[in-house]
Amino acid sequence: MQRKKMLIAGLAIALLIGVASAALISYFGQVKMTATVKQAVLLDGKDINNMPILQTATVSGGESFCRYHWLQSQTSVPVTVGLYTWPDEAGITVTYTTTITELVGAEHYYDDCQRLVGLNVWLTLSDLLAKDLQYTVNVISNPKFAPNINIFITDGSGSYRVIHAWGKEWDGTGLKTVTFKQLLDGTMGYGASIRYSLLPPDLPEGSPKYYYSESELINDYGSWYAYFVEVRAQAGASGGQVLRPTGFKAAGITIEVPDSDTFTTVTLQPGEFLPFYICYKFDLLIKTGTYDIYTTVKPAPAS
Amino acid sequence: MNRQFVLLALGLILTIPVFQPSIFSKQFKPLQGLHVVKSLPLNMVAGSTYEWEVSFVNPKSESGLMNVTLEVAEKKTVVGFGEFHVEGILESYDNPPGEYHTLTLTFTETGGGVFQSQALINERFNIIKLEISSVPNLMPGEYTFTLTITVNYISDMIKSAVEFLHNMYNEKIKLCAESPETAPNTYWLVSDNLWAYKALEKHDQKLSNTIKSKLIELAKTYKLPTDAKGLPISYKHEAVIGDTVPTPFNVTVQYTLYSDNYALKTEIANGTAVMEDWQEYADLLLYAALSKHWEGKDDNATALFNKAKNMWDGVGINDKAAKADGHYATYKLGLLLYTSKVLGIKLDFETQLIATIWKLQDETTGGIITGYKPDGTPFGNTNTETTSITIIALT
Repeated sequence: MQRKKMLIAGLAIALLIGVASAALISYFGQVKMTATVKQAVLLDGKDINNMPILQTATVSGGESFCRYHWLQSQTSVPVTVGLYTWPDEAGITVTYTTTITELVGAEHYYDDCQRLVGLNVWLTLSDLLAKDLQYTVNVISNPKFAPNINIFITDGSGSYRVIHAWGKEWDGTGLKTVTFKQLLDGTMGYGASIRYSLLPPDLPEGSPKYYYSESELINDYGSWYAYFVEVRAQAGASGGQVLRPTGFKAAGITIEVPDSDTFTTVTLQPGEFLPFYICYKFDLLIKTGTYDIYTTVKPAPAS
Repeated sequence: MNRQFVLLALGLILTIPVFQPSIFSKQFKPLQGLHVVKSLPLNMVAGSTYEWEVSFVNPKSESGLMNVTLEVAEKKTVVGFGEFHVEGILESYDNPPGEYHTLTLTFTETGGGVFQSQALINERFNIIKLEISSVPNLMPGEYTFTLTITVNYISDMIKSAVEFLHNMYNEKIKLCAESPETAPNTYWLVSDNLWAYKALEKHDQKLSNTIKSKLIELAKTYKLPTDAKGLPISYKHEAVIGDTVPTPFNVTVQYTLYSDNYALKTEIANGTAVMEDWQEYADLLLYAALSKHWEGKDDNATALFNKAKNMWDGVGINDKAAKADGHYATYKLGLLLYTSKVLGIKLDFETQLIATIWKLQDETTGGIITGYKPDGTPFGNTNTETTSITIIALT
């Protein structure tokens, strides 16, 4: 009897096990995270989403003015943004203009033996309007060259003022930074320019001899090649941003808004800070009155 | 007392069919040790790339099909196609001195913000490293990233498929029926039972021998063409069990050997006409490839195999039959995989192929569904032929 009971129970269990073992088993795991995704580009330090720039102007014919704004990429990839201005009133011309900058080039000075004894690197910051910009110049140089570097500034009239002279305070190693505020306040209206020069201080025309120290002639050809210039600008209380890091060619944009129905696009590099102006020009014959002009900035649609 | 036990046992037995569907259906067990190694940041910026790492333990330390799904969703907006991009790497290793492997995970966006990748895993410890990037113009908002990992073992697939054959087997006839739904009373000698005996050889030797003996007996009874072992042949399908077949193939004729309360059938490629276009059919190419291999002509075998392999279009084997039918045949996947193993030529889409078969395994019965549409939707029913060749290929 006992054997029969066990047989029946065993049969039932075996059937159950047999069926269960046929099941398709999936091993399953899931992890979940939530993140807040922010806009890729800031306009004047704020989210560009649904934030048009409103410019209200009561104008007379022939007037023009520009307003300073800035874009900042927060992404790790290049991002293209589009600027869109409306209304497209007849008689109003809107242009977008970057504030900076074109590093024009470098001049090299040689002695009679064709040895490089000096150089002059300059860049031009044009179309400046803001009065509260602060500039930082970073220089890396060869030790023999560095103590002779001075930084000059000019308002474009041709005469240079020394705004910083390192002289022998710096041994030329590593990165050297000098920060200075906009010095020509009041004289740098829109269209003026400033210029920085990195130049051995006593570089009179025709003089072939320049000294690292009282006894050591600077005559190492290779020593002159190690230079590096970076300009940062700081507007108001915002942090210093690289405008065009070490670029030797960074042409600004000046784009006349071609059509209010289309985006004017600008591509920002990762982390790039791009100051720009929206300039409004009113025709001589425009009807006198008050105009509201909106500009929006949006990331361009993915291609 | 005795009666109580009998009633209890009967109750249990009768209960099984009632609960059978749920018992047979796919069961989920937790993936061991799944945890986040490197979190996504709580704040992200559109257009940037972020890393996410998770690790888990392969529960069985045996070959399994891993499915990784990343779903990105936002509370207020619908995530569009192409707004995110996902790249991944699987790093895996066993306990020392196990080898360390890395495998690139290719993610396919199957829906807006839904990415899927599949891989075969073997090692015990696994780390998935993801790089998730978005387009710069992504709508700001609160995004949820859900990573789902499932692992299905080849051994479980085989086990279920073998169980299907057990259920298809008729003790009285000593053969497996064609299909549980469409042809439960039809018994094909070739190919169904010729492949079923082969499929069961390593999983149920006794049943395999029973079917084999019955096939030999029926071949004699009906004077069918046979191979050296006396098994019925079709001049095609026996290539799978190690026989050579003649090429080119003749047109196939289907024969009904017996028909009453059940039907005995077989097919033989002994039509008078030669199939001039036989190389446009993947199955025929693969039978020929296997045959050439058994003859020791591996160069010829490889050439034929490659022709069939090249019919893979990323979804299925798109041969002349598939083009005409508008759907893919699942058994050709099994046949291709099996031939690749016999010839020792690894398919570069093997993972995808196995994943496709896995999706076509019926959750309830363990049988493999005969076909599928270009969008992956199953088409047809489970049957003995497809399930058998799948077991042969995966074993």
